[in-house]
This record gives sequence, C-alpha cells and structure tokens, in this order.
Amino acid sequence: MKGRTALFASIFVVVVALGFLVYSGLSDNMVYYYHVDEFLPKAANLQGEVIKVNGKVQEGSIRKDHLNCSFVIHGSVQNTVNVDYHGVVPDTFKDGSDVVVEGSYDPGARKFHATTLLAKCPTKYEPQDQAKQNQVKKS
Amino acid sequence: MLADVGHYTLIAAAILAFYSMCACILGARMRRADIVESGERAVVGLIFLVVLASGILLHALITNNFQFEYVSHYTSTTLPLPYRAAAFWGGQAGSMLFWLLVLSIYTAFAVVQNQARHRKLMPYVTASLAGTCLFFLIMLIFAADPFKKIFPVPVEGQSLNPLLQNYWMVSHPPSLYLGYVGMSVPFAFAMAALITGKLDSDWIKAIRKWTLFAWLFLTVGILQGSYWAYIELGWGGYWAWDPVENASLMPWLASTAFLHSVMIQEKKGMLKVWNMVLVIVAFSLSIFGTFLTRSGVVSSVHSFAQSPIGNYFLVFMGIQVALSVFFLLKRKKELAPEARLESFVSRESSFLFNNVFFLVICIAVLCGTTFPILSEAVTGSKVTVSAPFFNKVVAPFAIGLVLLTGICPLIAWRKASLINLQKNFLVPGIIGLTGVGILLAMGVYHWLTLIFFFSGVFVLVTVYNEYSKGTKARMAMVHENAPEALYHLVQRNRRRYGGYIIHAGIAILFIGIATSSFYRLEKDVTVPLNGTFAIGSYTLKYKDMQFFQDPHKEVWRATLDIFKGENHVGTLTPERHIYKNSEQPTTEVALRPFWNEDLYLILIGPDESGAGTFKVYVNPFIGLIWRGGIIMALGGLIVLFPDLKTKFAVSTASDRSAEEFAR
Repeated sequence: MKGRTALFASIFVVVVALGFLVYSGLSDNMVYYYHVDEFLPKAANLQGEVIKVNGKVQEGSIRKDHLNCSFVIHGSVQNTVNVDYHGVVPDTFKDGSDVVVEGSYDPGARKFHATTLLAKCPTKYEPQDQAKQNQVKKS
Repeated sequence: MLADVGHYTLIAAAILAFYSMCACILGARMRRADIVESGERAVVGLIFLVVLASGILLHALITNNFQFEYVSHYTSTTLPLPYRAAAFWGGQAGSMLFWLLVLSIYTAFAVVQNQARHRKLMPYVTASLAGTCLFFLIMLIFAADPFKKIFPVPVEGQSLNPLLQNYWMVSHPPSLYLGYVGMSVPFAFAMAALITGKLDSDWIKAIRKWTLFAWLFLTVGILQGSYWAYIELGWGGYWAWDPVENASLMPWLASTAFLHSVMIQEKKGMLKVWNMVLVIVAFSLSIFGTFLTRSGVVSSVHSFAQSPIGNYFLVFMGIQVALSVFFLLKRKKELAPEARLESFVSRESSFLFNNVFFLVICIAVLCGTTFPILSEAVTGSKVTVSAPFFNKVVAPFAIGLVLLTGICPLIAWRKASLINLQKNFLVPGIIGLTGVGILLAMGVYHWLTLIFFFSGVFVLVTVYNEYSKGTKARMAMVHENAPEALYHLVQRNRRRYGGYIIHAGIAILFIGIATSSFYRLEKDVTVPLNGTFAIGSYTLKYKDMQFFQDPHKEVWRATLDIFKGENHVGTLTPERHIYKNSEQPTTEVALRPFWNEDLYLILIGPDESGAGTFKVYVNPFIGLIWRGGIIMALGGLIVLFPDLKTKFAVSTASDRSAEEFAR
C-alpha cells in the first residue's frame, strides 16, 4: 500500500504542477483579442497593454520601406486604426486581407505599434486546414 | 449530370450506413447471425458507394469539370495534375469526403480482417464504424456538399491557393488523415468490448496494430507538416502552436499514452478503465481536431470561414462522448484491475507516470487551444495565448517524458532494487553528464538545452545498452555472430526493440528542438548589389537579382555566395513568386544545410535602387528534428512488420533462454 500512496501523492504533485503552470502561464501570456470595432471605444484605456486587434487592410493604405511597413486596418463601419510594423510581412498580407496585429496602442500618436503581424487568406480561399500561412515575428 | 450521380450516391450510402448500423445492433441483440451478416454486407455496399462518390469527385477535379462548384473553387485548367488531384483535400467539402473515404477503407479492412475472429465484438464494431460513416454522410449531404452545382458554369476555376502548390500538399494531409481516422477503429473495438462486456484482452489484441498504424501515420503527418512549414513558409520556424497544429498533436499524445499503457494491461491486467478512457479520448480528440480545423471556431492562421458544419460536429461529439461515458460507467465494476501496484519504484509506476505526463501535456495543449472560446463564453472578451504559454507549460513535462523514456525500460517489473537501479543508471548518467560538460565548455549555458541534451544522451545510451546486452546474450547462448544475433534479437521481439528505436528517434528529435530553439541567430538586412553581410561564421555576398516570368507567375530571384572565412562554400538563390491568378506572393526559401546547422535565407524584396532586403537565420542542429522523426518512423515500421515468427520459426530452448537473459 505504501507504493500506492507514494504514487498517488506524486501524481497529485504533477497535477498541481500542471495547474500552477497553466495558471501562471495564462496570467503571463494572455493577450486580449479585439475586433477593430470593439477596440476603438476602449483604445484610450488600453495604452501600453499588449493586445491583438483584428481587421481588414484598407485598400491602398500599405506603405513599405524595406522592413518598415505602415498600413490602416478597418472594421465593419469606417472605424480605422493606423498600424506601424517592423519586420517581414507574411505572403498573404495585402490590400483587403484579414489581419491580426499584436502589439500596443499609443493614443497620443494614434498609432498601433505591431510586433507580430498575422494575415489570413483572402476569403476567396475558404477554410484550408493545410494552408500553412505565414507567421512572422519581429526579431 | 455526374454531380447528381455523386449526390445520390451519397444519399444511398447514408441509407446503407443507417441500415447496417441498425441491422448489426438488432442482429446482435436478437442473436440472429443472419441479420448481423446482412448488416456487414451493407457495410461492403456502403464502402463501394463511398469509393464511387470519391471517384466521381476525383474525376471531376482532374478533368476540370467546372459544373461542380467545388471543382471551380479549387482547380483551374492551368493547375498541374498532382495538385488537381490534391484539391480533393484542399477545401472543406472535399476534405470531409476524404475523411469518409479513409474511414470506409479502414472499415472494410476491419470487417474483412475479423470476419472469422472476435465474432461477439464484431457486430458492434461494425455498427460503431457505420455510425461514424453515417455522421459524415449526413454532414456531406446537408452542410458540405462536394457535388453542389454552379450555374452558370464558369470557364475557368479559381485554382488552388499557391501556398498549397507544393509537394507537401500531396503527401502531408493524407498522412494526417490516415492517422486521425485510424483512431476510429480502436474506438469501435473499445465500444464493442464495453457493450458486450467481453472485457478480456481480446479487444486490446485486435487493435494493437491498428493503433500503431494510425500512430505512425499521425507521427509522419505531423513531422511532414512541420517540415513543410520550415522549408516553404519562410519564417524560420517549424511549429507555432497554432490551433490546427495542436489539433493534430492532441490525438497523437493520447494514442502514444495508450500504446504504452496497453502493455501494462497485457502483462498485468491493470489499467483497464484507463485504457478504455485513452482510446475514447484519442478518438474524441481526432473528431475534435477535425472540428477545430474545419468549423472556424478558433481563429487560426489556417482556417478562415465560419461554417455550419460546426454544429454537426458538436452534436456528433455530444452523442459519442455521452455513449462512451454511459457504457464505461455501466461496466466500471467489471473493469477492476487484476493486480495491484506493489512498489513505487517499479516499471508499472514508471509507465503510469509516462501516461500521466502525456495526458497532462494533452490537457495543457487543450486548455491553451480552447482558451479563446472559453474566455469569450465566460467573460465576453476573447483572450488568446500564444507560443510562450505552450512552451512554458509543456517544457517541464516534456523533459520528464524524455527522462522517463530512458528510465522506464531499465526499471524492473513489480519492484526494483537499489542495486538494479545503480547498475543500470550509472553508465548512461555518467555519459550524459560528460556530454553536458562538453556543451558547457563550448559555451552552451541555456539550462533547458542542457537538460534536454542530458536526457537525450541518457536515452541513447540506454537504448544502445539494451541492444548490446541482448545481442551479446544471443551470441553467447545461441552461438550466432553479431549481425545474426542482432537480426534475430529484433526479429523475435520487434515490439520491444522497435520501440527502443522510436525512443532513440524521440531523443534525437528533442536534442534538435532544444538546440535550435535557444541558439538560433536571425537578422534582417538591406544590402546594395555586391554588398556583403555576416551572420554567425558566414559571410554572404549579394551578387545578382533576376526577374523573369512564365504564364503563371512572376519570379524575382536573388543570387548570393556564401563564404566561411575565405572559402566559398555555396550559393543561395532565394526567390519571390507572384502568382498572376491571385496576385499572391510566395517566398521560396533558400536553404543550405551544413552538418551542424542550416543557413536559411528569405528574399523580402528588391527595391528600385537594386538593393535587396533579406531575412537570414542560422538554425543549429535543426535537421536533427526530422532525422529523429525518420528514425521514429523506422522504429514504428519494425514494430508493425507482419509477424512471420508465429508461422515459420520454432523457438528453441536456447532461443528462449537468451531472451530470458536479455530481459
């Protein structure tokens, strides 16, 4: 019986460790995800916080200079956010693509500084589970 | 016209599936062998119809029959033949039909293979598989019809996403599906055992190879996917903890746990409930994975559209989990273990730990993957977690697992003695620590790299020990020479020694992960023509930029020379393609593997002045990940290889004693 008790005790420890790691992992790494329309009303309160914002790239708004890139994303209404990004843009990033930017918002400059840029395929291609899209992180 | 035939074929198949399910269950209940038999025959008809429907779709794809909406969405007249065929699993409806096709082929094998065996189980096995087929058929008919017609018929199709137009699109999805879908057969046997109450190890024996087969394809599929991401996508990495990747990892974790714990049930009659649970979990997770990838509930970089099939999946999963739990609870008493754990330090308990670790990783991955949905449901705002969360939570348990991989086979069954432990662990431990010492001397200080390296080396040494011990025993007792002894050793006990090979592969894979993750170099540069830049021990010289086009795409190609010191060691030609159909740019990574690291170069773009912008990485030992993967697959093949021994060889007394000794 001693073996069993020791075993259960250690399994208990493993499970507690899992709980702890998940909890602390979540509190360190969780990032709120907003659509542009949800984001704008709260933008002032989110200064400095790392968040993700989802929207569509406005036609003709992409300005690229080597690895620096700026563009505008918009929501369903004419809600727009200016985005700055430094790094490699994914292949699927272009006018009209659905993007998720991660970074923080500077209400003073009215700019979103993105550290990560994810672009989804244009809707022409419906769900493709094998469509490995680019994920590009800032170096 | 053909589209209608396809559509009605699916309806007929659905009727047969329903009939087969009912006939098998009723026949078994009424003990009427003839009714069961008619149910099994209906399954054969069902399979025939599914193959027919798939044939029609494939034919339409290959011949560019744009009457089919599906065909017009995913192919075009200029698309090369292999990709036209691969478009079968390129979109939603087609991939669901492909799931069904694989499932029905598996069903056919399961029914035919067991025609004379497991008679009590088979009616329910057939019913469960037919039920799963029925679900996919209903979904295909009502929500994701690949035979939907489009009018007016377009002259040209929209073609397959250029990102999918490469070799991996042809082989990666089918491997994954063969793995995913393979879990439905073990599940069917588990349900049959629960329903009939025939809970001895019969069902376990029937599905051992099935599970391994599915596991092998899942492993190969996941590794292919990571390799695809690495060489084609141009972000320097291979795994991003994307929901779709996680969806394939979770059933892998559950089935790997099962493949281990099933040994305890065979040898000791313990863990019966646990094994049932693992099989049920593995199947549920593979359905859940398909649901995640296909319904668009989680925002993934892979999946884009919200789609109605999500609800179908939810209903099916609900029914499946409810039935599983109901029968499990009903048989709970009969599943009592035949033996009790005797000691904490025993092989049994180390297996248990292995299982707990696998499941714990699985739960962590599940938490992270579903967190956005859960948080939105509970608090109203969507909260996402990304790679750092997964790395942080999974790493400690992964270390535990790799260590256990080394420890587990060395601990005696029932109760291990201290001497036994000392004898077995001393040498691998010392060699592992020596390896760590060498790394430290080389300036590698990251503790995770060191721990994974130690564990990996430990495993490799123990595997080598097991092989050499067994071979020597045979050489001494059966008087064989070394290669003969080695061959017979493996051949007579393929599960054990094949398993060790898989362990060695995993150890190598983890050494690759640990070194490449923490010692990667990366750099963004813009250089003028004939300019140079350096990374690590390499200097790259940007020599040339070409532009040309063919009917499908425009191509930018840069040429760079690699120098190591003064020596010219190679040339890289990264490209950027822009597809005319979709204006979709794709990067063509240039990769130069050296024995110890990969030099990885992406062309971001040329500018007006002729300067080129590049992203360059040096990934140390990243190749070990896939080399380890290939070794794992080889080990899996050794275990799967058909058993010749039982038919031909007669084991001699000395054979047996050599085996005893090796144990």
